[in-house]
Amino acid sequence: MEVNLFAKKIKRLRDRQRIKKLAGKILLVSMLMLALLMVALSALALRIASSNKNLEQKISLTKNKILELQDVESKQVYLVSKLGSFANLLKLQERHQAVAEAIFNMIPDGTTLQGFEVNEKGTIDLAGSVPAWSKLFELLKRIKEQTTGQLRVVQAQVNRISFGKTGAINFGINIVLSGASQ
Amino acid sequence: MRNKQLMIMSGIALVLGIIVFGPTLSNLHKVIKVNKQQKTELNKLEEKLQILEGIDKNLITDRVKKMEMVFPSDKPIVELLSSLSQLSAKHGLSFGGVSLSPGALTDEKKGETDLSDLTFSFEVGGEFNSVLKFLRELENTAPLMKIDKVGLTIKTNPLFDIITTMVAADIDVSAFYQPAPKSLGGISQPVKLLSRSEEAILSRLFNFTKFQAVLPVVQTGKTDLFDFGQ
Repeated sequence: MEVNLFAKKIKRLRDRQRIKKLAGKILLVSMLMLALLMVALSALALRIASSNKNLEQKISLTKNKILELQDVESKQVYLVSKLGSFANLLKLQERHQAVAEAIFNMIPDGTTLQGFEVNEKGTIDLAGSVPAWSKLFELLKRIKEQTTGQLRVVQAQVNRISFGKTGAINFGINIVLSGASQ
Repeated sequence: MRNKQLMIMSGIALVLGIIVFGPTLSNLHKVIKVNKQQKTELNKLEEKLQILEGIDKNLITDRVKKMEMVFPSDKPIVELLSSLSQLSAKHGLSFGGVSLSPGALTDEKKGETDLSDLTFSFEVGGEFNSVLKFLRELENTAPLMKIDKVGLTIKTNPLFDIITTMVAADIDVSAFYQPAPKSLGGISQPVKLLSRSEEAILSRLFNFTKFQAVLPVVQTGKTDLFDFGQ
């Protein structure tokens, strides 16, 4: 009969050896996997770097083409920069033309117009003189019955009527035209 | 003891991994970032190139020339006087009494988009209908002008039995100009395309009448990108 006195110890040793082997294998596999991952990452980085070079070349080529069209670009930038102000001026001018036309249509022959101005509220200050009462009545009638042109007289107020030294009749009239202040 | 060794080994492996992988990952992150930036830049540039290639060179040149005539970049003093005298002559009117203050002759320290005006006054005299036509045509004459104030004296000469009404008009006018942009901006900066309404506004440039002004030509060695001539 054979008695093994170290059975337990041997078993423990075997287990430890097995674990050691397994750990070694795991470590080896991990190292291999990490190495593979390293290679893959480096390859990817190289590929992207190469793509970057291509992109750089394309960018440079496109920039050159754009530079060749710099003349067209500068003209476009110039037009765009001026367009806003130009559009506003055209609108302003249209309103002014309409106001001037409305005023010219109102004044009868023989009238001396000292001037007309459109103030911020859109009121037109019309000042001048006429040689006779009949002309003043004609002027007032035209203001009252004004129908021609784009603008309509919304409100008119005679502020002043006076006689001048030469017999002329001076007047000061405020007129509000529809749309003149917009 | 064995466990301790294993732990140490694993720790060393981890540190080594970080040392080796750290720069690789950082490099990869950097190239990906550059790649993204370059792709975005290329897209922008290609879009800009496409827009620029689509612009009709002849049409834009005509528009710029016309814009410079109608809404100039510099004070249009010579052009104004020339236009006014020629316009009054066209309608058979006397022209005189010009009073204007040109202001500074050097470039004013103003922004690129600042609109400037030049105010002046003058007198025209002649037949009433001709004065009316003059006033109507004035605001459609290059350079762009706006009538600020009109003083009109309507007088029919009693010595002669004529039907025509003679008029003397004192006119205050503002002319407008706006400096051209000084630079184009970055090459990647997009070019703005004009909308339909903006195109329509530009087409109105061609409604303005231009009278030829005699201007001295000075040759210089510098090239101004925004000097398109007139």
